[in-house]
This record gives sequence, C-alpha cells and structure tokens, in this order.
Amino acid sequence: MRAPTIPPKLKTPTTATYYLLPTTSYLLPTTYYLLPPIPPPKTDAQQQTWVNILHYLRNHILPSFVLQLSSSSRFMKRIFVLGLLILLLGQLWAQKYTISGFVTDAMSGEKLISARVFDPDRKVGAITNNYGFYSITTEGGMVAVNCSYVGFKPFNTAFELTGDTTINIDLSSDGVEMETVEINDKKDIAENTQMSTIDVPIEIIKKIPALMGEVDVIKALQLLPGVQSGNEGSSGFYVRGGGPDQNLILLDGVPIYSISHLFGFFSVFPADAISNVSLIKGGFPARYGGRLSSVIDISLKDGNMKKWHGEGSVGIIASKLTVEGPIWKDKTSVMISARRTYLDILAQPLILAASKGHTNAGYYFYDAVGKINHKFNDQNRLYFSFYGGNDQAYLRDKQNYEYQGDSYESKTSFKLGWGNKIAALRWNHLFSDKLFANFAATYSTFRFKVGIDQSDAQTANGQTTTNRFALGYDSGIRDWNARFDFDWYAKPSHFVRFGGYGINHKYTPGVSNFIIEGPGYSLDTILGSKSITANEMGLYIEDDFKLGSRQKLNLGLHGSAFLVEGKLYKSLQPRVSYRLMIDENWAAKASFTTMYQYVHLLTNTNVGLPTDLWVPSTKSIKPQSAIQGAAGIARSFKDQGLEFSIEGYYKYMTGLVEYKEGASFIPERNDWQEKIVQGNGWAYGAEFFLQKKFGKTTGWVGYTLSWNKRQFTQLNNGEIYPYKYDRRNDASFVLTHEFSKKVDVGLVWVFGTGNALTLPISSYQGTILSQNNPYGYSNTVDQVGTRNGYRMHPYHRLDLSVNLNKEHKRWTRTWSFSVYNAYSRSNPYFLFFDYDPRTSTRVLKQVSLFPIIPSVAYRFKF
Amino acid sequence: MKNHLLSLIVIAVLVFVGCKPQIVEIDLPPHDPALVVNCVFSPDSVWHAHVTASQGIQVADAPKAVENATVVIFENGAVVETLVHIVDGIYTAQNGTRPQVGHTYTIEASAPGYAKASGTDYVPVTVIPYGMEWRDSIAYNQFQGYNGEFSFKIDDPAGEENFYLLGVYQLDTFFDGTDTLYFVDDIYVEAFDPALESDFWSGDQRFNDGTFDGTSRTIRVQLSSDQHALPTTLFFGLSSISKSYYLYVKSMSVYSQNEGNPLSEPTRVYSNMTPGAGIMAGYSTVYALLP
Repeated sequence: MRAPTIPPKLKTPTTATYYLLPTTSYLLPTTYYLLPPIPPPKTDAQQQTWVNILHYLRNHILPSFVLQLSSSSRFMKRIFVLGLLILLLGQLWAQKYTISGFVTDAMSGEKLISARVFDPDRKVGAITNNYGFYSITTEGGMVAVNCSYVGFKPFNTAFELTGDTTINIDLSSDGVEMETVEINDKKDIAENTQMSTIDVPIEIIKKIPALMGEVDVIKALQLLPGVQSGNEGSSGFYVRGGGPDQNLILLDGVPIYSISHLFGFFSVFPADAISNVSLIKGGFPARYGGRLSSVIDISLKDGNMKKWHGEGSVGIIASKLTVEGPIWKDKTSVMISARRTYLDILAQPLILAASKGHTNAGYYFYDAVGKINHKFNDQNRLYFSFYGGNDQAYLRDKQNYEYQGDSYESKTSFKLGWGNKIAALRWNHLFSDKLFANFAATYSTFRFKVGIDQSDAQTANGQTTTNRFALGYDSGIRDWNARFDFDWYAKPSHFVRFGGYGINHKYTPGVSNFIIEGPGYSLDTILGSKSITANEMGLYIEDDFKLGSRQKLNLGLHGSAFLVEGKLYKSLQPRVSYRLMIDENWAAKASFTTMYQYVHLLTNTNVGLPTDLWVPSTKSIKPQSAIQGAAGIARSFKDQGLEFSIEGYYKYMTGLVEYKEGASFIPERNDWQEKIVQGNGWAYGAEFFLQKKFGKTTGWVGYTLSWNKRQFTQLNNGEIYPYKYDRRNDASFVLTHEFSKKVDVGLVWVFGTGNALTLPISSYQGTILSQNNPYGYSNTVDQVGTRNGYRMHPYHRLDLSVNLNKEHKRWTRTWSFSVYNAYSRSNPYFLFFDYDPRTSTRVLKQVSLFPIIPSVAYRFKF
Repeated sequence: MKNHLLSLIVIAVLVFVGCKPQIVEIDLPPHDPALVVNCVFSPDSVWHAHVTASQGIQVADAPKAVENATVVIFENGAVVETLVHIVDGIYTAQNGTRPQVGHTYTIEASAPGYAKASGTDYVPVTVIPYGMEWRDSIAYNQFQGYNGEFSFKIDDPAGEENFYLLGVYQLDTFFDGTDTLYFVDDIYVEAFDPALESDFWSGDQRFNDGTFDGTSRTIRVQLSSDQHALPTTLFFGLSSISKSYYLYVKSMSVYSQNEGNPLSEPTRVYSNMTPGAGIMAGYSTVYALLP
C-alpha cells in the first residue's frame, strides 16, 4: 500500500483528521480518495446525528467489508467497492458543516423573525424562524455569512468553516439611515417558496393614518389585496372569499377568537406590544391547520434584554402604555402593555347631571398583554405570554318615590360585555444545531354576556313587597391546547418541519337564564343550547426543498381528527407550494392546499356583533373544508426596494354554515343546530400588489378583482347567490413618507365595490286563513329579493396623517394628527326603510357613520 | 401636560358630536307589478281566490285589487270552474263548485298588463282526531289565569309527509241588546310537546309528522284564558294541510315574528305561484265543539 497523499488544493489548516480510503486505480482516476474530515462523534446522546453513524460505518463496517472482499474475485470486489463509494461519497465527499444561531436586535435582545442569513457566493441561506433561530449547512472551507433585516445594519463576516459553528448575530439599528440599509431584505418575495404571504412591518403600520388616532394592526391588514373589510370602521376581515371564522388569528401562537373592541371599530391588538405581523392567504404550509382562509401570525415583543424602555400614547378615546426591560440582564426580560378607553369617564358627569343622579351608564374597553422570557442557555429558553381584554357597557338606574303614602323603589341594571383571555407557556429547546424544537401549552377563551335585572319594591304599612325580573344570556368558547413543533434543517437542500397538537374545546353556544320573582311565586329557568366538549388533534410534516438551483418545492401533509359527541371526523390535507426562479429577480409560483375546519361561527348577516356564536361540528353539522389553487409571478426590484406580485386563485369551500331564513341568535326552544343550514361556496379572482418596505417613502398599491359566491339548498330557492362581501373591485393605496426625522406623513385611499345585501323589492297582499279569519286577509307582505341581490353604494375614503417627532435627551415624543375620511364621503353603513309622511311613501335611507373625523394623539417613547 | 389633556378632551367631545350618523335617501330600483293570487281551498267552501297586484316597496298603501282578471281552476288540464269577481279582487265560483279531497287543482290568473300567474296544489285526506278530552281548572296561576288541559289522538298515515294545523279557540258570546251572539275568540295555548313547533301561541299552530310518522299520537296542550275564567265551550279544529300550505304558514309566521327586527335574517314568504307571489294551498278540516 502506498503512502497517502493529499492533493494540495484540499489542504486546509484544520485540525480535523482526513480519512483516506485506499482502492485500485483503474476504475477511478486517482489512487486515493480523499474523504473530507468528519468531526469527532459528539458525546451528548441527544446530539447523535447521521455524522456519528457515518463514523461507525467508516471505522467498523467498511474496513471489514473490504477485508472480506479481498478474497473474492477482483471484478466483484471492484463492483462492490464502487457501489459503496457511490453510496458514501454522496454523503462524505462534500462533507458539510452547520452554521446556526439566533439573530437578535443588539439594542434590545429582541429576536428578529424572518431575518435573512446567507452566503452570497455559495447561494445558500436561511430565514430565521419565529424564535429568531437559523441553521445553514454547507461545505467546509471559506464561507461568507451575511445577515440582513430591514432597518438594521447588515452583518457580514467570512471565516474558515472547519466544523459545526454557532454564530449568534446581534444586528444593530443604531445610526442606520433607511435609505442606506442593505437592500437584501428579509424573505425576498421572489426567492421565497411561500406564496400569498405578506409581511407588513409594524413601523409602517404605526405611520398609517388611524381612526381616532388608534393604531390598528387589523385595519392595516384590511388594506392588503385579497383582504376585505366588513362594514365601515369594522375590524372584521374576509380573506379570498372566506368568512370571518375562517381566519386563524394567532397571538404568540395562541388562537384568539374575537378581535373586536367597540362593536368592531377597533381591534384587540395593541400595536406597541407587537414585533411582527404576517398574513398568509393561500399556499398554507402544513404546520397551520384548523381554518380555511387565512393565517394571521402576530408575535408579541419578547421584552428588552438590555435596558428598560417604554412607549405610550394619549389619544382621543384611549391611552396606552407599554414597558419592557430586563429583570436579569441578557437572561430574563419582561414586556407589559395596557390600554383603556375613557369614554365612560368623560361621559359620566353628563349622564349623572342629565338624570339628576339616578342613572349611571357608560362604556369602556381595556387590554392588558404581557410576556416574560427567560434564557437558560443557548439551548433552552422559556416564554410565558398572556392577553386579557374586555368590553363593558353598563347602565344602572335607581329611583325612589312616594305615592299615596307608600314608598316605591325601582332598580334597573344592564350589563353587556365580551372579551378574550389567552395564556401561553412555551419552551424552546435546541436539540442540535440542526434541530430546533418548541413545546407549548396554551389557553384561550372568549365569553359574551348580556344581562338585565329589574326590580320594583313597594313599602306599605311597614311591609315591603318586591317583584323582580332578570334575563341573562351567555355564550363562549374555551380551548386548552398542547403542541410541539420541530424545525429540522436536515440538509442544505431540505428544511423539514414537523409537529403535532391536541386541543380540548368547550363550546357554550348561547344560554339564557330567565328569572321572575314575586310574592308567592318564583320562576328560574334556563333556555338555550347545552355546552359541547370536543377534542381536536393533529400531526403535520412539511419539507421545503430545492430542486436544482432554480426550483423549490414545499411539500406537506397535515392530518387532523375531531372527536365530538362520539363522532370522529378525520382529514388528511396535502399542501404543495412550488417556486421557479425565472431569472435572478423574477419567480413563478404555484400552490395547492386543502384545509379543514371543525369550528363554525354563526353570524347574522345584518350586523357584526359579539352575539356571533362559535359552535363546533357535531353529529349533524359537518366540518368545513376547502381546496385552493393559486398561481402567480413575483419580482423583486432590489435596487429600488420594491416587490411586485400578481396572483390568481380559485377556492372551493364546503360545509359552510348560515342561519336559516328568519333565524337569529336569540335562544329559543330549538337548539342552534336546528337554526342553521350548510352549503358550498366559491371564490376566485386576481390580486395585484406592489410594495415598498423601506426607504424614506414606503407603502403599497393593492388591487383585487374577485368573485365570491354561495349556494345553500335551503336559501335563495337553492340558487347561487353572491356572498355579502362579494366585492368585484377592491383597491388600496398606502403611502408614508419621512421628510425628516422630525416630520413624516401618511396617506391611505381605499375603494371597494358596495356590499351586497338582501332587500325587499316589492310588497303584496298575504293571506292567513284561520278560524277567526275566515276570509284569509292578512297584512301586506314585503317580498324579499334575491339573497344579497342589492348593492350598496361603492365605498371610498381618504385618510391623511402627519407625525411631528421631537427627540429629547432621554425620550422622544410624537404629536400625531390625522384626518379620517378627509373628503367626508358618505359611505354606507347600513340601510333601512322609513316612512315619509309628506309623500305617504316608504323611502330607503342610508346611514353613514363617519364623516370627516380629525383626531390627535400624543405618543412618547423613552 | 395639563393643557394637552384639556385639548384632547375638547377634541374628543367635538369628534363625538361630529360622529352623528348621516342619513340620506337612496333610490330604489323600479318594480314591474305582478299578479298576486291567494287561493286557499278546502271541500268546506266553494272556490274562491283573492287577486291583487304587487307594488314597489316604496308604496305604503295597501296593495291594489285586480278586478278585471280571468281566474280559472283546472283539474288535469280540464276547466273545473271559472271564478267571477265579487268585490275588492275577491273571485268566487259562480257555479258553487267545491274542491274535493285527494284532488289536485291548478289555478291560472291573467289580466291585462300582467303576466299570467299559475299555481298547483291538492286537498290532503282528512285525518280524523279522536279521544278528545277537556279538563279545566287545573290551578290558578298568577301569570296565566285559570288553566285547563285539552288532548286528542290522531292516527297519522304512514309513509308520507303529513302536515297539520291545530286550532283551539273559545266559543264566546256577545249580547247586542237583542240577541246573544256567538263568536270564536282566541285562547292562550301552552304546549311542550316536541311535535308542535311552538311553546306558546294563540290561534292556529302548525305541526308535521316528522317525529311520529305512521303512528298513533296523542297531542296534549294546556289552555289559559285572559277572561276571568276558562270558557265553558271550546272550539277545536284540526286541518290536514298540504306541504305548500305548511311552508307558507311557517314562513309567514317567521316573517311576522321578525318584522322590524334588525337582528334576524331576512325572511322570504313561501310561494308556489309562478311568476309573482301568493299561494295556492289545499286543506281539509274536522271541527268539534267541546264539551
């Protein structure tokens, strides 16, 4: 055996050992085959990877095979060795190492989600996950690692890669001018396999003009193509033809059921406490499930690990304050944010004065959100986050009077309230530099309650008699959820995610408590539907992998099951997303997804109130399902910082629910299941989107052309009809511009085809024959037209804002002036019929809620 | 800071004053009037129908009667009766013919300026109630006055959908100074029988045989009167009604309940007339006076 020689070009200063495998020369051109170094096996049993297996193969199995074959025929020996080489060289020749770590904000220690870490020469890279973790596996040798994130100085380094390496990157935003930021943005729209996904930087959201000065994440999302708002000012949103229940809204990974404050005019998410907002409208990765139409993934700030900071605002209707900082520097941080309205406080003196002290009434809402995170070490991190929010309207009236010598006391109490509470405990664990895990236990609940309690007491001759009437209504949903998620950076070309979850749901779909009490009698009864408990579970796996240098595929499978009332529903939901880079900037994309949803929202088509009921699939109510196909092109104009995409989509939905004609949420003898019908829906259209995310001027132009239809056997005579939010044209123009550090302005213009609604179109003579109505005369009947056959006037609106910023030594302040509906367009909110005595006719009237509304807010940051 | 807060409060008040909803009139789409034919028929009475015209939703007056229509009843394509106009759009059989149980009829109405309207229905076979019992004065209740209980049995025909209309009334009297006159008056009915579609009502109540198809069924209801005592005589009627009649009555009931309620879904009143609106519905009734 000749002495091994190492080709000079492969010599490196590494201390790792090269393993040489001797063989003969006439099958392959060189005598010795150099095997790249393999790091020594790791001692931690949890970190055993395929590298360890290769060590075992090479050191024990392979030599013994070679020895055994020495006595075989030369031909067989060569064939066998060649086969082994082919098998092993694929793994061993290009020996690869892993660079992994976390990307954080150097100033705050906050994780940076979707930051881009890449080697520009080798064209390999990764995007940080929701916990700021990345992992890149590449061949040894000189590597360059660049990291970029909008608003931060890019990080660049180069080094000799000789083994698995951890690089935790702290990006600094100090002194960064937006125009000079590296253009390589996070999640380049063209490069990303995922389509139908939009990230909106929270800083842009804060600059957009806001209704009454209240920055609102959901209202910003409503301005995106494919997303339609409900009524004027409403926080409800409808994605690609889906209903409001078909949006999976995650706050730190926890589903939140009601996102509305003040009957929908504001959403529940405090912008100051949010670090990242992402909207997925189609091409859903397999890790998401349970809703048909969209995923809104909102991440709370972790809390500053370095210094204490705060920000807040005083607005027309509410004030808020967010404080964050380290409890234990670089180890434990906390973030707390709270908001409360003061309409009630402002109005109370007026109400008391008007009622001469008899009546006290008001309305308020509040939010409180917080997060604590503790970093045990680089491998382990624990998070606890919570949210609590509530809306309360109340009226209390008490009157005393005397009449003919008797004294009377009358008391009335009315309460209306709804709110969410969520909590999440999460543990991040790094099993290896390629295997990241998150384990979570979460709780989420939504309750709606309304009640009236009235009593009248009469005192005569020293004796008091009291009559009382009380009515209460209660509905809600409660979830306990446990889940695990693994991110496995298996190979440079494969990024695998897998996980599972189990959810225990409890639905309370509307219960009324009715009480009547008086002298000698008492009635206390409950009407409505019983609570239903259900268990949901699921598993998923997805692989984001490269097919050559231009193509990427994301293949996934989501399996779920739902056990309710002894009935088991199961589903397998394949997901496919494909991307082809046409050139460096242009990409063509396509996706196909199937989705299942076991929960339904019974909502009245006329109003958007918290009276909407969350109900499960049951023995008789089937789950909803959807298939969606989408295709489009995307382009990055990196020099200009622009992104552009056009997508077409088609979605078919089954198992949709609607109330039967004439039904409402008010509890009756019948169970809710008897009030609803199920049917199908179609939505298709095209979306155009041009976005500029950074620079002095930011914003986007969005346009959606869409059709949205429904068909229910028992509605509209079984004929197809437009969905209420079928909107043929929907456009938005959003612009923010920073003139200087002291002044920035914002502009929003929106246009949408009018909402569809059902109106009576004529009236006619009805008849009811009964024993005491032998001629069958009846009142005039209004003949209802085709369901959603009438269109309200189109909606359009211009909002403007100016922010005046001033930096003080220790803090900065901003006066934010905004004008909502600048040209005071009378946009339709709802329509109703009225009687005009002058002409003795009925007239249709349109109610417009918001004329031009100026507002001002004072914001501060320290 | 105090000045800032004061400014905010002033602006807040101004904003909410400015938020008063604006109300404007909207143009309504024009409406082409159509014939509306209401023909509810049973073997107990001669053919009659009420013909009116639909009108635009903006018209607040009562619908206008159509007095120059041609209204014809057919059975299997053959003319059974041509109805003649009596008054206010009411047409009746000039030959005194009556519908027959089990027969299917079609009505056609036409008038100048309107499209011809037609509808078809049948007279269901009468289901005879039996075992009727009437027990009064169960207890005195502060809310409901004197209570009584009424029950009867039916043998529901098997293998077909059957629909019923139950009417329970009190026979009341009125002295006009000369004579004592009898009239049928409402009585309050309470029933928690799952076969019935409402817990409380007065007048008629519909039900179907969905839960007892082809079986003998006892229907039991509790009665109370707004009078000082329960009536001495009950007027009871059980109608076997067609499916069209059932759907019409049901939708009309929901429509009436939801009229003016913004929290309910829009209600479409059932019609089997094409085109236009109205109803062609057959029924047959058994009446009884108790005791």
